[in-house]
Amino acid sequence: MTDVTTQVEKKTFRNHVKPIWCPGCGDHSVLACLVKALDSLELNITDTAVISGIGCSSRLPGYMSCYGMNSIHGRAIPIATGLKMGRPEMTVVITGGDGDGFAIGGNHVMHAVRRNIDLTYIMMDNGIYGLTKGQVSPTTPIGYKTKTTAYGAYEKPIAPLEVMLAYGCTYVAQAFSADMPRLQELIVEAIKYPGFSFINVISPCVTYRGGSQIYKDLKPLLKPIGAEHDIHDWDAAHKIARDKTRLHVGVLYQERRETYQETQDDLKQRAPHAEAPSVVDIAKKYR
Amino acid sequence: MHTDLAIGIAGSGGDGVILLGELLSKAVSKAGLNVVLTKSFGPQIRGGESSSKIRVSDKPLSYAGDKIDALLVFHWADLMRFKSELVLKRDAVIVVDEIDTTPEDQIPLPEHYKGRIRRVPFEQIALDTVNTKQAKNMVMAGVVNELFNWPDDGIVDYIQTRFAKKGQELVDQNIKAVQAGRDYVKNNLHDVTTMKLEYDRRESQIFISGNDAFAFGCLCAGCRFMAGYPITPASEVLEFMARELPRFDGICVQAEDEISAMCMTVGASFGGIKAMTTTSGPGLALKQEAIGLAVIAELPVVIGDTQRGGPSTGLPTRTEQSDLNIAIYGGHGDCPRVVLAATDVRECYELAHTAFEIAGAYQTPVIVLLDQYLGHSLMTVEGINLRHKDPKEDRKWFVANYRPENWNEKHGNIKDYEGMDKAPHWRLCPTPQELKEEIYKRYTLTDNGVSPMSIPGMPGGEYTAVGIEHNEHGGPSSSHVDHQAQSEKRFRKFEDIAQKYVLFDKSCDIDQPKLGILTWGSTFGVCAEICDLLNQAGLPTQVIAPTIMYPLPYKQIQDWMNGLEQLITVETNFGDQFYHYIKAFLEMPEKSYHYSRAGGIPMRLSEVLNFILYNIELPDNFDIEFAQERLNW
Repeated sequence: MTDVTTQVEKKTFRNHVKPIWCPGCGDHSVLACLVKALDSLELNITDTAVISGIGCSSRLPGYMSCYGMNSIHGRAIPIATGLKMGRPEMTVVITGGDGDGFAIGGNHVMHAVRRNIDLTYIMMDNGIYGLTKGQVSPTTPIGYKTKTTAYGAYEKPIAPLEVMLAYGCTYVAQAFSADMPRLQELIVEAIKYPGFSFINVISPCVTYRGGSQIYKDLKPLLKPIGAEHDIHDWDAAHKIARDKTRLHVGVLYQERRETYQETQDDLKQRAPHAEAPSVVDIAKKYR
Repeated sequence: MHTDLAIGIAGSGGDGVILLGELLSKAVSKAGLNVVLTKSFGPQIRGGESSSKIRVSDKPLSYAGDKIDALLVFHWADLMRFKSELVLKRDAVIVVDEIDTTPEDQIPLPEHYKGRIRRVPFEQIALDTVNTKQAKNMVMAGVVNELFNWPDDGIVDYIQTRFAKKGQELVDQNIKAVQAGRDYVKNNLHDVTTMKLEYDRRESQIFISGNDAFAFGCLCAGCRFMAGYPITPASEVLEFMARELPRFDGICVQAEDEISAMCMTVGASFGGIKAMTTTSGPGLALKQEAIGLAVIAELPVVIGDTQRGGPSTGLPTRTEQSDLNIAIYGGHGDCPRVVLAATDVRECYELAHTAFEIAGAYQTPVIVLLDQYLGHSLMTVEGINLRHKDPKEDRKWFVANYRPENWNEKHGNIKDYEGMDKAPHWRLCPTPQELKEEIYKRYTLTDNGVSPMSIPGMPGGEYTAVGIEHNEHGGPSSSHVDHQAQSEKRFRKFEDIAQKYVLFDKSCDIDQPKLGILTWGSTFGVCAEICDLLNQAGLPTQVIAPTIMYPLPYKQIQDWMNGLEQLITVETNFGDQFYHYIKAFLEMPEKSYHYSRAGGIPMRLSEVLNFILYNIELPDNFDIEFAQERLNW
């Protein structure tokens, strides 16, 4: 038997499928960084899964060679949650866009944070619905004209970093897709971090949100969070999150809190155990 | 002397009639008799009126019964809400607390009962014996005990466990109060009734609700993941799992919403865990998109639906059989999924096993329909076939075959698992050889539509499960050729299921029935009792209820219908969902009739029998008086 068994081999996380993304899309870089990060972590494709919902960025699992799911709009978080709860030994990463995470799937984010389940959520924030070809998204800036805001967007955009901090997320970071070494580093760190980790990646859509000019506009705003920032200081993190004049990149906040898995281990200790729980004993209770 | 007795108890908040109902029922099941307990509540969260109805017999009982032989109330006002549920037989015994001062003309009973009302000072006895009127329900237990020769098996034990936390003093007081009730009957009421239960003691029976039986069945079938959201009347399934799953190394999670509960279940199933969720109508509507994901990604999940009155919020605490359409047809696109329907509490346990078996073998969602009446009624279940498919065995098999490097002492001797090519009780998986040769295709087209499914952790089996249409490898595809081929594959599984799972319940095993009663779900019980009665009266009748609603055992039902002279279909919903479903696929006899009405209360024997007697052609030798006597009960 053992001779036919496939041993887990070291394989790269990138498969051979060519992405459907437009040239210049930030998601290409995020894919490259995620692959490099996973490769460098010496994880294997057999025990890793990348889960997504629907959207341009949610196509990402299809370009990975590990296990994964490209599911339904907004539901990547609960699906990844179910997988991680059932198979805690696996490494589970969620990828998706701002519409997927903060519009249709908005309710799930706060509850994943509340459970502090050990998932890494990489949100590719492009401020537009790209897959459906250019409608307003929860992070589109006020005034920006999209196909569904013909006279300019008029609803106050969601600020993902502020929201995640307010939810009590234990790992909040921001990155820029064009700033690849740092992005890769942040992904490595987020995956290693026990608990729910969130990286907001500004990943421009050159087709529906600003053309290639957007890179030129964003680059001068880039400001790495310096060593003087105390990542355990929530107020300081919140101050950075509120500053929209710059594109702050790096870790804003970190906090070690009991993970879902740890609470479960504790709960299993507290549940009344016979030496071996048996269904016969349960039946007896009904007699 | 009676062998089939039904009593009703009504009270308001703090009277303890629900506890009393459970106590009396438990005593009966301990003595080995059959019992059905139904509880009914007013809309208040706490307090308010409540009632218990208990039917007892030494013969198997298939439903809660229509009318009651005895009514016990603390105040007439409490009965008002339950007047339509607690209907008295002509010769019923009526007992009310002496403390009630309602003038006779305001008692909510027909005139002819009024002369026969007996007053018992329940509250006063409680005060006199144990110095608290709260024990009046225990006094009533003693009264029932003595008055009807009701078994007292385990009453002391029950009081002991139920009140242990509140101290021995209270336990002793309650036991004393029961005895005081008994003594009162002996001294004052010996002439009241000849309605004494007659029975032989047998082995004690399992006494369980439909919701608990379903949850228990799922646990026994190897379910180790449950995600649910609280919803009446299905929450008890989630509560059971929250208690038991952590003890069995499983996970039970209360999700943030119905959608997420369904999605977590899908995620856990992708991870190879036997996973389930439960809900009621509104939740089933919300879960539809994710059920569709499980259909196209071909992931096994079990969804329980304890139906309630709809649409929208509808009647959350009341029964109805109106989710048949959404269960079968609720998905967008061509979205086939298995639908099972439980006919009684035992079936809730059995179908849980069947659901996980089909879901796993065919990589498909399976919806199991219960209803509020089944979910909340407690019934005795005779000779339940208790079996446990422990997923630990699957885990060992997995490690031995695919990840021997992870083998350690806790799994035992690796040799135990050599040569095992099929999981003990799991899904069809690709063999390690297939995976090594890199010929594995997740959605490969096969004869029966089932393709091997790799589980995360299987080297070489890596794939992306997708909600988008795909080719055999699982790669996204918008080609009409792939869409046709994969649609055919997904439907092919159901041809196979239809062949292998011909599931229906049948009552009255006679050779040539002239009248057939075709029904489904919990309505089967009342129809079975009518069927017995019609046979005794001289009309050869048989009742069947498919327990697999999709794919329906078309051929078997058609063959059965072909042999009938007359047919009646019965169901508890206003839109005739089952009737239209049957009519769409099968040829009914020329003389076919249909009886249905909206839910709210379970189907009654009297209304269905009445419909039959007035509409069905009866044979010349039919004993109409015998049948009508039952209507007059």
